Amino acid sequence: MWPQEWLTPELRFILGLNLIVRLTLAFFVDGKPSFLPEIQFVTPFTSLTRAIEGSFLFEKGVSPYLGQVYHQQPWLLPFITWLTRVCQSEQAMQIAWFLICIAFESMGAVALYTITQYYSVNPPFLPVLEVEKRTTSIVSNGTGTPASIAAPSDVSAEEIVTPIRGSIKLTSTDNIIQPTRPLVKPNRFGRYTTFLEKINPSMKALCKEFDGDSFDDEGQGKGSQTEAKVENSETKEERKRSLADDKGKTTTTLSSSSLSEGPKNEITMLVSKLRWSLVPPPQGDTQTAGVIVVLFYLFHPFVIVSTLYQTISSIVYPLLFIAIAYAATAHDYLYDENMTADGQPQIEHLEDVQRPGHAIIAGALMAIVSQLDLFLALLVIPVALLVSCKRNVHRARWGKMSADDLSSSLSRSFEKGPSGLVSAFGNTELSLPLEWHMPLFRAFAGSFLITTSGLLIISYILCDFSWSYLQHTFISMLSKYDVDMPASERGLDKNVSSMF
Amino acid sequence: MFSTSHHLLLNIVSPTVGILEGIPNVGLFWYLFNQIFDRFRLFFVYAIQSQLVVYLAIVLLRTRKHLTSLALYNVVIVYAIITVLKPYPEHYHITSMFALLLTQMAFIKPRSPTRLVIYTLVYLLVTVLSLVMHRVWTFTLGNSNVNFIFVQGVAQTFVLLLILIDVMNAVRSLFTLPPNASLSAYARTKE
Repeated sequence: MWPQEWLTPELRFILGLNLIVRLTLAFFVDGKPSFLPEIQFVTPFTSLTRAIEGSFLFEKGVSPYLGQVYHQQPWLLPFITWLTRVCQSEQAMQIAWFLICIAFESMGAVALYTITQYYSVNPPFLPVLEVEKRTTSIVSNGTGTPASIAAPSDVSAEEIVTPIRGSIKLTSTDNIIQPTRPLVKPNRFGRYTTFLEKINPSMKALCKEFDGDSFDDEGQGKGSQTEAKVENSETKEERKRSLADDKGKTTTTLSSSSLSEGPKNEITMLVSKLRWSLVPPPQGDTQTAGVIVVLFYLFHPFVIVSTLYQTISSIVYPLLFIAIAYAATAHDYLYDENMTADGQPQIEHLEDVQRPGHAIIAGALMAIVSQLDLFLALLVIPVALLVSCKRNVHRARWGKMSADDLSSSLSRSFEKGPSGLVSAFGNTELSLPLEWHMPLFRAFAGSFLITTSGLLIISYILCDFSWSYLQHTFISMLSKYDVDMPASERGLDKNVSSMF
Repeated sequence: MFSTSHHLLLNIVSPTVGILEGIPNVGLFWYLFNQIFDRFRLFFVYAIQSQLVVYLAIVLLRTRKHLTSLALYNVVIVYAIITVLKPYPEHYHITSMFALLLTQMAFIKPRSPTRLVIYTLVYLLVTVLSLVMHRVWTFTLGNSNVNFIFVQGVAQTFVLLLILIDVMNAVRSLFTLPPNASLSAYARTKE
């Protein structure tokens, strides 16, 4: 199950070391046990003393939000009161809080470790460590999907099996092989590069194969450089030659019968390959990379002191960031990049669609643990939703997609999302049962409602601000009011002070 | 007129919006809003908070076509912007941002490795010095004051902004190349 998968021996060792270091620091640095933050590292939203004060008011039946003391989430109040009842002394309370914070920090460390294992792009310390290079290959399993990344032992270092061309042998030193799709249009200098091509020059051969296909319609731009044009023409010729050669090869090398069914399968395979190339799998020894990242995260000199002050008041944010993940992944993948020959969106291969969703969700986990503000989440989400929805509206407007298709595609994307969510937690082949789709869709809608209501609240606050400001200016204009008079004498501070 | 829920929402949301608490932290704005006159306060609240909206919107619109392919990278950038412009930041945000950036170093590696190393060293130096200053302030009273904490926040934010500029430049360099650049030369330099 997941704890065994997530807590690898390295992680267990690091987390245990972290606990020991924190405890020794807390006990022995100042000569007396000190588990509470110093002033420098506390914000009003992460203060334990304020939380205790709020819980005291809460127990007495007074609303803790009436003053300016308590700014944290309301669900923290009963938890703090329960904790004070259990601990019964200030010292025990501090120790309990300390342990809770360390638990949440460990969650952050686990999230970072998973990020580096699955979603990191070429960790920086690889040339230093000279680790064993891993080869990836895309193997067709007969259904047109790229089935898996083969283990290094399965495939020889210099060989890749592609569905169309058959086996390709590469002679470069780097063994990382991914068919790539150009991320960019030709720039103003008349040539284009992909970031994958730039990172890894050995993929140039494969890039040539796909460049011409994707840019035949768009032209070469207005470049004045002759070299680029010469190169492009060369690549086209090479591509034609290679394609002509490979028609014979594919039938011999590939045992699967998918290619013989017709050109449509080729197109779907190509599309799936392109999709696969969008998010490259991590390269190199990801375990050591993860260990180094987690060490950096845990044992930074300031974090050692300031970890105590994370609170656990941000349970709301998962929903919000997951909403971003839905909006971003589903629409980007299904409706913009990948089309079949008929011009219909291609939505068959789920495992590719899920992958970037994992990335965003794993990043969102980090954001949750490190407590971004609710206010900022409210800002980010509507923008992402607008951007993603705009595309569908655009497609509907230009006649490529009717209104029924639009609605059905939206519902489909919602169906696709939860399985991506579940597979983010370790098992990529797991998918949600159908009964779970509707509750998760409701959760999504609820988070959307939360954002809109939050925006309403913010706009109300801003209106209140501006209303008091207008009052101020009008009165000063009409009655030649002394602006520098204190606000309490003017009576204008009521609007503002009642808010805060 | 106002119910309890009204106070609840305002007490959660308004301190972030209105930057009300002047307690020293790692950020920049507590000092400004402690020193400022009340009549200018509202204007500066508008000015500073609107910056956050503008920058985040610009970044998200600029990278809207690559939300998935550069997903973690976008998360890092947004995270850094939020950390800089937050009213109540913590060290935790900065370090976790760095840790996330470490996973995406391939984008920045050809661009400016030495500069990144220099920034990181400067940042570590700032952290160590500020720890020392904080000790001086709390334990030997009178030898230091709260301005030292503010200076530390300024230095940290300065380094963070430089790093952020490098990161954004690396993103831009993914999409453009200089006129006479050739990939073979790049490959030679890499080897």
